[in-house]
Order: sequence, then C-alpha cells, then structure tokens
Amino acid sequence: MARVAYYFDSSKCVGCHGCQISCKQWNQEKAVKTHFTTGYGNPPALSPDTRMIMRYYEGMEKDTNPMNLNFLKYQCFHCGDPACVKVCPSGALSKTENGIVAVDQDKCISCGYCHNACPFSIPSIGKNVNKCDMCLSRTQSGNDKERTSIPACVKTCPAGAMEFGDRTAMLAKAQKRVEWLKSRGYQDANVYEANSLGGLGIVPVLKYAPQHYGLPANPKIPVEVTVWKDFFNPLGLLMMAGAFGVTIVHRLMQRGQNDNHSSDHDAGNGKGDM
Amino acid sequence: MSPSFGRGAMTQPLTDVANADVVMICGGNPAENHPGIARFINRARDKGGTVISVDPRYTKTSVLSDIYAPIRPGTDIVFFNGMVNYVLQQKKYFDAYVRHYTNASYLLKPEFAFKDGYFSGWDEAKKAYNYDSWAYQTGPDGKALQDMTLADPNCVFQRMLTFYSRYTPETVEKVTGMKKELFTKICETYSATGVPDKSGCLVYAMGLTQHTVGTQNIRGFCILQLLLGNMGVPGGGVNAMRGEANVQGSTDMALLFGNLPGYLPAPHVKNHPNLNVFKEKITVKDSWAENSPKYMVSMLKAFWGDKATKENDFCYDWLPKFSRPHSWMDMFNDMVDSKLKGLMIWGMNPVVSGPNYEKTVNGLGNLEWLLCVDLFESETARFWKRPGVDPKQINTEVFLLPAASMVEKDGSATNTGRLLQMRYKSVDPIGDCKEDGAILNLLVQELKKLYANDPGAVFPDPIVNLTWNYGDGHHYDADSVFKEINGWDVNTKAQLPGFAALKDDGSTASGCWIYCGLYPPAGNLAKRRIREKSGINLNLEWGWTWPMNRHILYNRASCDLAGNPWSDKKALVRWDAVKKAWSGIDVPDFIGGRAPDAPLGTAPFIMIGGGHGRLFAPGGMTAEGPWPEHYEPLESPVQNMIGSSQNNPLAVTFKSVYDKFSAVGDADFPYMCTTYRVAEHYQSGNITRKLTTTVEAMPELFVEIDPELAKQKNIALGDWVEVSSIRGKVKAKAFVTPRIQPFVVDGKKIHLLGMPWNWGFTGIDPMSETKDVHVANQVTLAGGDPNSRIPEYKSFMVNIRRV
Repeated sequence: MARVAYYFDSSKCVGCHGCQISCKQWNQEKAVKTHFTTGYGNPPALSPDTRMIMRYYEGMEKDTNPMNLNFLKYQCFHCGDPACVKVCPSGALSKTENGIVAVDQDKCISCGYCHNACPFSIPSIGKNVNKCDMCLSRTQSGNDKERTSIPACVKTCPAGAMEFGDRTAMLAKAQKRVEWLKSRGYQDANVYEANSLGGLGIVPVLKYAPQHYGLPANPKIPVEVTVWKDFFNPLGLLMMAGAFGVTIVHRLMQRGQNDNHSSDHDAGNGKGDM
Repeated sequence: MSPSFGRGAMTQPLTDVANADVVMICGGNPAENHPGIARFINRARDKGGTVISVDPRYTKTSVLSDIYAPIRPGTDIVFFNGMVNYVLQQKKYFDAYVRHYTNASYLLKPEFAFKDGYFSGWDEAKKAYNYDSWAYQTGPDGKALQDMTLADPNCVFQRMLTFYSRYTPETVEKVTGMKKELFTKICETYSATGVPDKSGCLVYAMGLTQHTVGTQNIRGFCILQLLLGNMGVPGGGVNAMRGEANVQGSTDMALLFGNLPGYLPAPHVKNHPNLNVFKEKITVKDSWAENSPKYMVSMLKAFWGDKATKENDFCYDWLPKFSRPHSWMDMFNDMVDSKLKGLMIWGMNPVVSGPNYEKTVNGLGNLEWLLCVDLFESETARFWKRPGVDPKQINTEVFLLPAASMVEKDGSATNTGRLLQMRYKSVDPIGDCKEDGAILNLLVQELKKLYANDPGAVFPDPIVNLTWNYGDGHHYDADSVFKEINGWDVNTKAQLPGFAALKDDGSTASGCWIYCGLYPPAGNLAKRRIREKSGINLNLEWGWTWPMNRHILYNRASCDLAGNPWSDKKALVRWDAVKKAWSGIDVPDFIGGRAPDAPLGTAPFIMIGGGHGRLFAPGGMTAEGPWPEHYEPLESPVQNMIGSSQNNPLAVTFKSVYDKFSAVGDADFPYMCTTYRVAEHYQSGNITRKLTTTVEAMPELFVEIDPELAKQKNIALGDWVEVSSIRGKVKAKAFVTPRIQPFVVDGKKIHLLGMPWNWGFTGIDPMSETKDVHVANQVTLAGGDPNSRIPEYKSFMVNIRRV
C-alpha cells in the first residue's frame, strides 16, 4: 500500500489555530489551563492532553524590514523509519501499511522510551502515550465523499494550506511550491527533511531555513536506539541486552530530563518562540 | 461605496479575489478575522498575483503578502489620496473608462472651492456645510454639462488634478510614517492594473471604517478604482470584509436605523411627511432607482396586507418616522440621558463591544428594563453585577432568554459577497432554548393580543394589523419568511420571479425588493449547491446572490462603449447584436435588452442618475466633502499637517460626563493605540470564551508593544501592564513584538500599542477569574463618522505602565 502523508504549506498558513482546535475536539482531548506567556502559541508544548500545536516564530531582520512571522503546525512527523516503534516494548506503537505511526493506547505501559527515542521528543507520556496518529479513526473508517476520511486538521484548514494523500504526490506538490517560493524571492525555501528518518510522513513546505521554525537541521535517531534495536537485539544476546538496556534506559531518561524544549525556543535566531 | 457606485454593498463575490492581479489589503486582517478569505488571497498569489498589505502592524495577513507597508492609524486618506495623485500625475488611469464611465467630464459650479481643509459652504458658526456649491453646472434639461475633452478648468477631472496635487509622496511619508520609496513601489504595483487586461481589488475591514473619516477612507479607494477602471471586472472591485456571517443580511433587512429593507431610506419626520413626498425623494431619474416607489409600495403591502390600500397610502402613516439619529452611539447617549426606557439586545454584547465602557455600563444602568437573548449569560446580561459595582444600586430589571445556536435553527446567512445560503437545523435546541425566530414569533403574537384587547392602547393599528403568518405558538417556519421576503402577486399568491415584476399599485407584495428573485415559483434558490465546473469560480448556481444573482456588480463596465469586453482576459458579459441582449458568464448587472447605442446604453452604474461612477460626490452625499480630505483622529499625537482643521469638522461627538478627549500633545497619554480581534475568539467572546479549546488557544487579553518602548518602560513579554486613557484603564499581558514598530511622523517618533477587544469578565478564561474587568473598550472613545456614525475604535491616545 502506498504511503500517505500530509502536506503543510507554511506560506499559506494563517496561524488561526483551527487545526489545533479541531484536533483536540475530534480526538476528545482535555483542554489544558494556559496563560499568555510567550505570544500566540498556546498550549506552549505538546503534552499528554495535546498531540498537535501551532507554533509561532517572529523575527525582524536588520532594522524594520523585512519582518517575518512564521507558522508551524507541529506534531508527530510519522517517520518512515520510526524510532518510537523500534523501542516500544509493548506494541502500543506500530506502523500501519500506509505508513501512519499508529497508537494503541490500551497496550501502552507508559515507559517513555518512545519520547526519548524520538528525534523530536514528540510522544508525550501521561497515563498513556499521546501523539498524532493522523486521525486513524477517520483515515481508516471515514468516507471520501463526505471528506471524513482525511485528518480533522486538514479538513478544518480555511486557508488551503494543507492536504492529505499519497506521499509521492504530496512531495511533488511540495517541490513545486518550493520552486514557486524561490521564484518569489524566498531563496531558502525548502521541503523539510523529505529524506531523513526514512522519509517524513509530514511534508512541510518552509519559506525560510528550518531554524526559523524551531526545527533541527538534521534530525537523527539517537545512536543508542540504532545500536540497541538494529544490532544487539536481533542477535538475541539477552544477557548483554539486559545489561546494556539498563544503561541505555538510564541514559535516555537523563536526556529526557534535560530536554525542556529550550532548543526549539531558541532556534529562531534567538528571536523567540511566541 | 454608495455615493461612488450607487450601491453600498461589496461589489464582488468572495471567490473573485482569486482573479485579481493585485490584491491590496488595507485596514483589514482577513487571515486572522476572515480566514476563509485567505484561501482566495493565496490563490490570487498562486496565479501570479501580487499581494500588498498596508497595516499599522505586521499581521497574519502581512505574512501572505509580497509587499508590506506600515501606516500610522488614522492616516489612510493621505495614503489613498497620494495614490490617486500618483495615478493622475503619471497618467496611469484608464482613459476611456474615466472619460465615459465616470463623472470626470462633468462641469462643476465655478463657486465650488476648497481652501485650507474646508470645502466651500462651510459655516463656522453653525459648524455645518451649505451644500449648494457642491454641484454640477446644468443645462436647460437639468442634466449636468460635460466636457468630454476633460480640459475645461471646471470639469471634475481638472479640479481633481488641483485638489490631489497636495498629496505628494513626501507628504505621505511625513504624515503616515510610510517610507516614500515603499509608497512609490505600492503606487507602481497597483497602478499597473489601470489597463484593460489587468485588475486589482481592495480588501478592507473595520481598520478603514472605524474612524471619524471612515466613509471617506472607503471613498478614497473607490475613486482610485474608478480611475484605474477596476470596477465591474473580475478581480477588481471593493471588497468589504464583514465581521460576522450575516452582517450583510442584517443590513439588507434594515438593521441600520436610517434604512428600510433593501436600503430604501427610513422615513424622516421632516423630509418624508407622506407617501407621495417619500416616493418623489426616492425616485432617481435616469437610473434603475426610477422604480423605487414600486419597491416601497410592495414592502408596505407585505407589512400590512389587505389593510394597505391605495386610499390610505398603503398605511405609510403607520411607519415610524425618525427625527434624529438612532445609531449605536446615539442610543447609548440617550440612555445616559435617561431618554430610553427599555432595550432588547439580540446576540450582541455592548458592554464588551461598545466604545467607552464606562458610558455603556452607566447607560444600561439608567434603563428600566433590559432583555438579552443569547447563548450564554454575556457581560451585558450581567452588567448589574459586574466587578466593582453594588448590584443594589442598579434598578434595571434584566431578562435573559436562552437562544438556539446556529446548528439548532433553520435560516440563512448572506455573506459579504451578497451570497445567500440556506442553513438547516441539525439538532434540536437544548433545554428551554429557542430559535430567535420562535422567540420573536411568540413576542409578536403576544403583543398583538395585548394591543387588540386593551381599549386604552396607544396607536394599536400598526401592530394589530401587521401581517404575521410564520407559524403558530412555539412553531416557527423559516420558509414562509423567505417566501414573503421575495414576494408574491397579491391576487394569485404566485411567487414573483424578480423585482422587475414589482408594481406600485398594490398588486404585489415583497418584504425586501433586493431579495425579490430569491424564491421564484421554482423554489428557494438559496438552497442550491452546484459547484462551477469551469470558469472563473463565480458559481452562479451555488446559493443565490442579490440582486438577481448578479455576482460582479456594474459588469457592463467590463465592456467598451460598443459592448465588447475591454479584454478577453477580463470578460464577463457582452452585447449580442443578433439576439439584442446582454449575456455572458455572469448575470448582466444592466438592463437586459438595452443596446449600447440606446439612451443610457453606456452607463454602467445603473443605480446612479446618468449611470456614471462618481469621482466627485455632489450635494453632501458624503457629508464632509465630495473628495476625501485628511483630518486627524479625534485623539492624535500631532497637529494636522495638511489643513487647518485638526479633526473632521463634522465628526460625531457627545457631551456626557463620560465623553472626555485628551488634547494633542497631552503628555499623560503620549502613545497611539488601536484595537482589533484575534482568530480564536468570535466578536465579544461570549461563545468562544466559554469553550475550553478556544480559551486554551488564546487565554488572555494582551497588548502589543514594540521592543523599544517596552525597554523604556521596563516591560517584558508576559508582564502585567496597565493601559490607560483619559476615560479609563484596563489591565492586560504585554506582548512585546517587533511586528509593531514606532512611526516617524514629521521627524517625531510615535509609538503605537494595539490590543484585541475580545475579552470581558464572564468567560472561563483566566482574565474572567481575576474578578476584574478586562474590556479593551475601557479606554476607547465614543465619537465617530458623521455619515455612518461608526465609532473611532481604531485610533486614540493612551499611556502604559508595568503593573
């Protein structure tokens, strides 16, 4: 089955929060208590109650012009080679035939391995893991005619900034849009990491370089995960695995504690996450 | 728009924005407030179009633009007039269009003059204009004299050259703070649409209208559009963004105090003493408005049925006549003066949305009774127990009726592009909630009973005899309302096909003539949902657009004099000499069989006598000038650098104890401030501040402040700050952002603050938990435009401090 993806065009997005709100409503997530702290972006981070957020980055080059205000729809990137699925010990995370990284909340044991293994630290761990599953309830059981088979966020977008469908088609569309943006003077326009991590299942068209959207330039699966799952685990060296496993879990957990999203906040050339 | 083109409504369908070569967005932030329109702005760009955003702040709409230009609030006229001057000086106007389709060639009376900020006829003692000199020279037939060479020194065109010459790029920079180079770039880009195969449109919202010169702001742009030949063509026009799904529908149906349905004027006690005088006044020779008496009589027949006869002037005397304005600001001023006893408020929240909060709440406190109909208890319904007052001191009796939401009732919405679409009830209202129509139905039925049964009732006839057949008791039938709005033949009861069938002899009834044609014998056309397969996305079979499903108004102007499109790229309709009819991809907004060589065959603006677009608006139809002249806002940081009158000489102000204004240069209030909305909250927030997801996404009132001023004031992002004006103060969170920048005006640096007005004190949001009032209108002023009487929410003076 061909891989699906969704396309997000930051140059058409209007930052209205419509996708975020419909995501919460469709997936019946609880609203969290927020305050005005950093600007438009609320809730400020993904959490066990929030699987998708809008992020806002503002900047001002030189004195006053050109200004910019960048929008990013932020959620699980549905990697082609998902580290979270690799490390998940309970089978709660899995990859569907069409490439969606799916979640079975009932199987989750809240170990947090997925959060630490994810190059973006996206899965949130509360009682269960929470992350975008491309509205599996819709994409698997919805109906094309009434457009209930596309994710809630895509259906909601009023600006025409999103689309859902065959990944190859989405990539082609994105590439075309990048060329268009370049022709309009956005020299750094890019499709974010189309080939990394086994190819992302989210195809974001960015007007500027990834750091202006708080995104890492070269996301990688932590080496511990690769070593553990692809090398030692298949060998079945259980004893060794056990010993290593404890060490790795320990290291990953430490990393998790240090990971407070500050890297995302500061990435926009110190201009701040709003 | 009405003085310029003949009708006050947006000229294009929303989808048509995508057909523009240049989209200029001024005083509007559609990406935030009308996100559905962002799609068409994006499409225009995809097709190669250029998008210009002119706004005091770099907004979410500016993100979609190719050119962004900051402008000091309240100086839009200087910008538009500067553009007009550029177009005139550089000869970028569409010559044939200007010559033949506008009043450029009309000769003005030699005594018409302009001097130092005032037009001729100004009476300083009366503070009023005598409009006699704002007029054309006329021939023996009463028609205006013309000079088609446009060379006569008294012709409109020549007089414009002189008037506008003051608005140079240097002046624009000096007054608006917009850099001259940027201004010139916008002029070059936009004026490139003054050719047959290109078009440009304006998208605007309250950022242009909510000023003491709001109407003239729009006029400024209308004049530019006429000069560039951008009216009546795809991708052209003037696009007003309405703030709510059915604002257009509500004004169509006489929401405004000065209107009857279909924009017939509301009768005035002095100007319209009887039906004959009324008919005479609404009849405009050489225009479609020659038919206006038919619409009036048909409306009266719809109101009072068989009781309305020729003998009794169709019950004209039963209509209320007004003697002074009753706009929003006037009504609240009347409340302060204890002139109003009771008030019914349907789905509105004046305590949050009205200007000058203290005036609003104290006005409400003088009412004997107040009825609110809403989904939730609003700030207005709770004004008597608002933070900081003792409910015992307020004697107003407040009633709150629970209403049904939009998914719980049948009805329609008329969007800003004049498109009617039916909406259907999907679930029954919860609890005791009722549809607005059902509430009104019950109320009117009860009133009719009370008036009929009370021998002492004063003037019962209009109510007792009102035709009212929209269902019994709690059942309300929306369909019967639409049938009556369209109208029928009184004798056969057959639905009418369109307003051309309306008569002034009492044989037809129609509730709102511009909606006649919506519900012909074939059924309610607003139910249609057929998407266009090819074409330019006008979608003629999706819903129904007034008038008569004409999508782009004045589309005769897309053709040359002979009736052929100026350009195939911008073709809409054409004259078919064989069939002797106009036809095309849009419904012609013209008289179907009127040939180009017939009288008025080349007069596209059919609602104006003579059919020519008005570059010059005569006779005081725009009260403060036939052309827009710059005046500073009521509160401003600088003296008017262009003329001797600081403010609009006719600006509406009031004299209650709450109406205080700070003077130019008042050191206590040194910063400009403007107000707006956010995408996450709907209007006064009475719905969205009660929903968890929207509160989560946008929890608290904020004030945007530039980094330089923030540093001076020791204010950091997220700090509590207090914004104060001479009228009041409000606490909010500081949003320090480079997207708002100080302006350099005449060498002086001026800082601007901005805040959304969606907050109050009754939500589930953190602001409501503070037990304090967080209404942006605590600092705004109640003063406004003399034509529309809209308040000046967009520009006033404040101070700010860290709390």
